[in-house]
Amino acid sequence: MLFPTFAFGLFFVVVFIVNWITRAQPLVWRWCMLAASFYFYAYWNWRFVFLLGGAIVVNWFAGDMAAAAIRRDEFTLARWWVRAAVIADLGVLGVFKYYNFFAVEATNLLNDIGVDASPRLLEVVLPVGISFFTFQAMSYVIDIGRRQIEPMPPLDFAVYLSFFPQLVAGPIVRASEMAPQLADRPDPRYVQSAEAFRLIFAGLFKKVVISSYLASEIVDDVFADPAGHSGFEVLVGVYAYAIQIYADFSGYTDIAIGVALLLGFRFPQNFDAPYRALSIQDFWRRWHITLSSWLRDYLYIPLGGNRKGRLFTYRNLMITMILGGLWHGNTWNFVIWGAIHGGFLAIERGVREYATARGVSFELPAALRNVLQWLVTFHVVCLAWVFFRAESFSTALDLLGRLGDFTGGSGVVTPLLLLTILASIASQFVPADWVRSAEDRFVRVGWAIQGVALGIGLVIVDVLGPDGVAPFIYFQF
Amino acid sequence: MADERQPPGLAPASAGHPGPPRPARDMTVPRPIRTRRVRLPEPVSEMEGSRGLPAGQVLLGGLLGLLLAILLNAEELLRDAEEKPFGRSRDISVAVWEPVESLASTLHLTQPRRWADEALGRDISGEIFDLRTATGTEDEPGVSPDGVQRIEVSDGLLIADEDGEPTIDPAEGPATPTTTEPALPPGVPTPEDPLELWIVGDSMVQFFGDTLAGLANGTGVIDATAESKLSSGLSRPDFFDWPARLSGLIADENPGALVIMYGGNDAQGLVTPDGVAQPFSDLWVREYSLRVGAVMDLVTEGSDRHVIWVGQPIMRSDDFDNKMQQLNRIYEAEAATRSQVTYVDTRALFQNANGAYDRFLPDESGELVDVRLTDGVHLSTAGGRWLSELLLDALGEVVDLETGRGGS
Repeated sequence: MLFPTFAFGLFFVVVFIVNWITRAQPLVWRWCMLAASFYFYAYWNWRFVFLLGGAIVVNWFAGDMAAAAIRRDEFTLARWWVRAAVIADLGVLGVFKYYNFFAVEATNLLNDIGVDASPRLLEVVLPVGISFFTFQAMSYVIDIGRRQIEPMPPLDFAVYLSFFPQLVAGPIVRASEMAPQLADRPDPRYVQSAEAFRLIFAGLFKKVVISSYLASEIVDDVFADPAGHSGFEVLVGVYAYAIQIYADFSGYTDIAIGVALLLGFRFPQNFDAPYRALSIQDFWRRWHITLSSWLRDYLYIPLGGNRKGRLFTYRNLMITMILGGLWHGNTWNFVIWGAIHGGFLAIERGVREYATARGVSFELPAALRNVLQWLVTFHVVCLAWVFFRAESFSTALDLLGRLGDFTGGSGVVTPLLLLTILASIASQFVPADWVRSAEDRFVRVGWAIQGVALGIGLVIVDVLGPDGVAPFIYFQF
Repeated sequence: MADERQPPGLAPASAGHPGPPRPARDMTVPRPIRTRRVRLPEPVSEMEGSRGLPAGQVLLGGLLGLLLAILLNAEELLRDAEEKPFGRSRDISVAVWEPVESLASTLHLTQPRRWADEALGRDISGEIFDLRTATGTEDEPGVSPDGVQRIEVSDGLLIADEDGEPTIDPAEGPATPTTTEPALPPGVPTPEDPLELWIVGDSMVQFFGDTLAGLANGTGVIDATAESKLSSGLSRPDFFDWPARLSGLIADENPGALVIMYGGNDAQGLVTPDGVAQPFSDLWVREYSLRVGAVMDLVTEGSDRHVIWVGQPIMRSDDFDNKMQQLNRIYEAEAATRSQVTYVDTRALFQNANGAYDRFLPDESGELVDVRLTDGVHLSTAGGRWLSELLLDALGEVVDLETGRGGS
């Protein structure tokens, strides 16, 4: 069930009513939310409901066993329960997401050296959201093993892992963030409607209008046929993709957070104006924050973080970002995307450490330095996006190769397109206080005006958007 | 000094909690595990209370917003309902939205949306291109005097059974291949005077159209453009009127050649002068064949323009594949009677060694390639490249692409 559809609107009205009517009865409320989330997931493909159910049962059981072992001071046993859950989760991810990739690569490699290999390749559809709920499940069991959280009651864990607003494309909500909210009943007198409506409208606008427009006007064309476009068009196409994927993914997140707010839950922020970042480090504190913090807590730090010397730190950064790339998909391009980010994180760190050690300082006015840092950061991010979006390594190289040739072109760059890209980048620099102040005024207008504004906003999105809405890009991850 | 464990580039622990503080537990400090799950009464939390509204008012506001959006958008919602495949779901949707649209029109609430659509240059007339009149099509292709649908194709005769399901008449056996003799070249394209090629069709084209355009442009003697429309085809001009679009395209661009691919969305009911025809009934096959033939005539009439009509590849679902095979036979039969139309069979390209569907197929060097998307229908980029190469070869059979660029 896609968010920007009438079916979801109808579904959510029913869920909203049931949520607030039953919220005072914990057991009834939990079963109702669980049913709603499973219905939402079954709407994609009912078969995968069993996968979600299996993930709930296996991870809850492993978490409970680990906690029981800890209570008996059997820490080794607890660690094995955690490992078993992580292996099971990664195993499921591996089968659905990576088996064919590795099987094809291994087969081709063996064929190249004269060994005839014919593995059985799987004709499977990737269950939507599997990367997200699997990571949530792993963090739950690992946190229990680290004695950072208590095990949740089974029904609470089922509601948490399947909770439909964040089920298919995040944000990746930790059990430690959700458990207190499941225990503390929100006050039905104070529903954050102004913020929720603003987020839902912004999310719909970004997804349906901005992302769809940029994809159809230039991005799809440029990435399908780089040779048919001039260097300038390719450059604009890459900028447009940077905006498209931000609008698409952050749009989904906005809607998810808004929907959750209407049900009385506050999800963690997932984006914080990433294209105003002045370094790659800064970028990752603003882009897909829940994934980057997950990778930090469950991969980078366990690898040793920055505690084992400079070279180990660089190694850990590369491993973390490359695996972060592979999390997105099973192609070499995602590996390269991660390697670019990991490489530049290491370079930034190296330069900073060198400058600090040698007492080197760059004597530039702050404003000029910020502009230069922003330009470099934005273009490194765009360079990485080329590999993220291109269908193959050779296509990415073709595209980058076109950048030096400013002849020819197909006329896809229009003033409206440039304006859309520039306005989208400029919007990253709008102070958060302005948004909050506007929200405060919106709260005071009352429910009727809020409703009218929501209605008009929905129509504006429908008028400006295309017929039909493509699935969110991040559903494929 | 910064936290030693804080890695560069990864989000700080506090980044995920914007907004006013709420009661939070310090989850970083190891704590004893609670004995067992004891259900405690749930305390009420005033979530940032000063900025909220009561749930009942929020519901009223939300419903008001949805109602307003529905009324302002009523014409579009009714149109969407009418464009659904014929059947109970469509009937119910239309029954729901018709009175809503009627009410909205009475209140003049549909007017703002009309103004907006007109300002954006959208066609909201709802008129459908008259294909029969435009092409002078009156005959009923392939219908024998006994009224039974018989379309001659390369591997048998297509007839409709009692249930309207298409079957192959095995008694008739394979017919003679009906590949049409290519027409004379429309002229030798050169870099200065390239062949204007348009690649049009449904979502299948979305996955190979730009690739084919890129390959074609790479010849130096073709100026190619791809245009696709999701969920479209020839069955439902009320959803997207391809004959009207093609008519405009011919008038405006006068292309030298066209690559056309429809079918993926066409195995559904369609409106005929004799009423709604269920898929693959006699009436359906007659009407669909007529439309295919008429489109072929529409784009070739009065010109030496050549058309490459792309057949559907093998599909993962047997049921869907059977339907696509029936459509392929119609395309092949109609192309066979028109000298400027070449039907290209794509099934063999995407079959494995056993003649079955396979997502991974070996390329010329024997390396396995992922040629299909996970939906079992559309082509991957690699698959799109394979198809594009096949189609460019087919175009090269009827248009001299070598001489103009210095080839022999």
